[in-house]
Amino acid sequence: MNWLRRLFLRKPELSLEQSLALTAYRSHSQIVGAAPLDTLRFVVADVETTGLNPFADQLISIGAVEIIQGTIRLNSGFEVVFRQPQASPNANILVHGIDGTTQLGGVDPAAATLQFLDFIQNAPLVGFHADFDRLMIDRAANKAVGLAPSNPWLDLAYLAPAVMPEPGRKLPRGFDEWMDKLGIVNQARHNALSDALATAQLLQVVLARARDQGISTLAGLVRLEQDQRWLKQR
Amino acid sequence: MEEEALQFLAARVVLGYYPKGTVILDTGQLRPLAFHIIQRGTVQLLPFNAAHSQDVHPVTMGPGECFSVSAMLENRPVIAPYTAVTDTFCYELPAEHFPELLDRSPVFREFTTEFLASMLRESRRLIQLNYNATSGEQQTMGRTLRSLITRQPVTCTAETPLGDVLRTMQSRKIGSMLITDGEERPVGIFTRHDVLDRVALAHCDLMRPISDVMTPNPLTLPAEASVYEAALLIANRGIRHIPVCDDHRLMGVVTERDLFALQRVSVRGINRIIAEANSIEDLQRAAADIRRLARSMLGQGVSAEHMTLIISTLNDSLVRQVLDIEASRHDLQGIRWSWLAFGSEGRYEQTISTDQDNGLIYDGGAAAPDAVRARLLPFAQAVNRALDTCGFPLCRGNIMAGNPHWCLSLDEWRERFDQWIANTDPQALLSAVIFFDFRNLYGDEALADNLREHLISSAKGNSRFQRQLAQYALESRPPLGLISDFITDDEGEARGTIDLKKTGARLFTDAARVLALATGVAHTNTVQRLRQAAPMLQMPLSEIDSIVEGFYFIQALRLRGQISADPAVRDPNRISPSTLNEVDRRILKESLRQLRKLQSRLALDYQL
Repeated sequence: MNWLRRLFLRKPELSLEQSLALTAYRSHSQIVGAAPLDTLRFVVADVETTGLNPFADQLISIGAVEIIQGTIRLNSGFEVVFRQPQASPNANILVHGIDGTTQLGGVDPAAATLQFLDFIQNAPLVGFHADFDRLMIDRAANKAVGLAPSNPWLDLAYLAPAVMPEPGRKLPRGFDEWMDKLGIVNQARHNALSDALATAQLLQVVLARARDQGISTLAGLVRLEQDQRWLKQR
Repeated sequence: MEEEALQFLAARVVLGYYPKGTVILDTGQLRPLAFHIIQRGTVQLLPFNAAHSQDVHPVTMGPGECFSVSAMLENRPVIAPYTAVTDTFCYELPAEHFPELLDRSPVFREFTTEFLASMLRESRRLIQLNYNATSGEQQTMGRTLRSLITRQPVTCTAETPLGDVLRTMQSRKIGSMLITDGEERPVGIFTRHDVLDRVALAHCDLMRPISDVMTPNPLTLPAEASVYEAALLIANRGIRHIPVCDDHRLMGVVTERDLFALQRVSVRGINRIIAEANSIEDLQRAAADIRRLARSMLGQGVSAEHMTLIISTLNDSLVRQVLDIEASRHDLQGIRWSWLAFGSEGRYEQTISTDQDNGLIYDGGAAAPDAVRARLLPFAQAVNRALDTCGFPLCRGNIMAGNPHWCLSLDEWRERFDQWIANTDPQALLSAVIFFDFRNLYGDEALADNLREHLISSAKGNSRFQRQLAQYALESRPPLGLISDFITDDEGEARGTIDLKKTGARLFTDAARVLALATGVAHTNTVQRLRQAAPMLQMPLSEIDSIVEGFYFIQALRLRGQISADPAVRDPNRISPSTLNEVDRRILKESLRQLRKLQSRLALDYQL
């Protein structure tokens, strides 16, 4: 009852409406592992932060794109900038391009988190090096509304090499190398939404390859990711 | 594309991914679920006639290209599968938004129209190639000798004196004499060529029987043999005349010259024959040549556009020559007259089997109109009869200059047009529309011009009259269903067919006539009317081009029917879509769609 304790002990101040929104999010049923991939809705998410330390740096923005039945819904991209107590250093701003004014004028963290929860509903979340995205989002959400998203996460950094093995050839290593290999154009690297869109295209490729390999359910994909993690960690 | 339309598009497209080898759109789908724009990757399709052609290059499309325009427009399955040949991402506009995009974006609409027009052009080229390959040569070389024989053979018996034979050959202007037995079987042949060595040089007695000098047991061919066989025999045996037998009885002679004439029918040749003709009989031969030329032109892939024009031009000169000959035989002193062509002839759109539709305008000066008419009618009737013998059947509706109703003075004609336009009897107007396509074919052009000016000035401002005409033009609709399949007739002999004239070409013509009269375009030709009226109606030329292509295609199909069909058996204007090949069927559908577009424009303009 970790979340309960948090909710009551360090209760962030939520309005009635915000509480209701949170309840609405929690009332979504969990997606079962047997759910067929063809029909699923995925949300591909990407974050921009003040730095790379997940325990010290702050979440600045989340970009997300949905994939339904294998197609990217271009008209329903999600993007939110979390209001910062102070603007991040210039060197950091140069990475993500979210200037100080925008940071200070962003959305109240609780409202921003609830918007994000409302967007993702119960969809499996997907990222590239998703652990970082997950940590940043969980921390920010916990702080803002006392709750971290319970959605399953899939990490393309593990899934992509798992479904596109090329024996004898060096696999792409980071996000950018995968983009190059597949010829995916990223309109604005280190813009959360644009990165999410590019990641979503990678997910499309991964889903198609997974299907070719006989993986047809969410559980199958999750297992494949975990196997690959285990391989990598050895 | 317009900013607003782009926004509309961007808000509705999704991005789909197709790994290499995936079929994106397949022929089995009832209709495409989305309109695809390639974002990245390569997509291929095999052309629709891939099955029938040997060297087909697949059409390859890359980023920025889209498919399938025509399947989306027609709401039908694609003709061939679209396959991703590399990993491909496509923007996809769900099918339900496609019509709205067309509505919102004139640029996009024009793009699709232009796309279809280019497809039409390409397909027409293919048809002509096909047609050429299968029928060009064969059409002439494959004809039976029976179809070539036009006159009774001149024959004699074996006992006929040589002198009599020579005299007959001389007077009948024939190159050979056939000698037959009591049962009309050919037993010998004697040609002009034989006269030199067998008669003249041999000092042959002219009283001797022909059997002494004839070539006995000549080579013969059955009537069903082909021109090709005759050509072979002539080339191999060095003979110039071949008796043709039907069930062993002589039915005619085919000569080397007949065969050459088949190949050498040319526009210039026919024109010269017409110009030099001084009897109706000569002109009859020229008329037959015109039909033969039409056949061989269609085989050579001449477009319907050029062909109807050439046929009209040659028919014009033929009719003029007939008029010249007949005018010299009648006393027309002191009368100014203009011979008018109506209907398809008036529009320069004659196909091969066309009835006569003609009339006369005259100006007899001070003489009473009725008296002048009485002098003109015998002349006009003689021309009508002469044209009939040249293969222009008398008009079933009796719209001919020889009919006193259509042999009128200028004032009477103006009055007649005024009545139609004043619209006292709508039914009368409807039966009169072909008169609005009149043109001067021969005679005093000023009379026809005067009438034309009168017509234009009274029609242009009369919206009630225009509306009436438009109503008439919209009475029949192209035989296409809502889901864009053909609606064929379902009764009797016409079962499963559509009428290319009544529900095709004529509807183009009717619509063009309204647009021309409304905008004051003087031309009578359907295509010219459309092209000249378009700028005044703010219709983009690219749209007109597509409509024109559709019209020509239907005309080409009609011509093909008229040439290949056995005229006695069925209506050459009827065609059964199920017997057409895939290409033809597809273009026909598109042509009818263009017609529908033209009609909607008319309906819009006149709120019908």
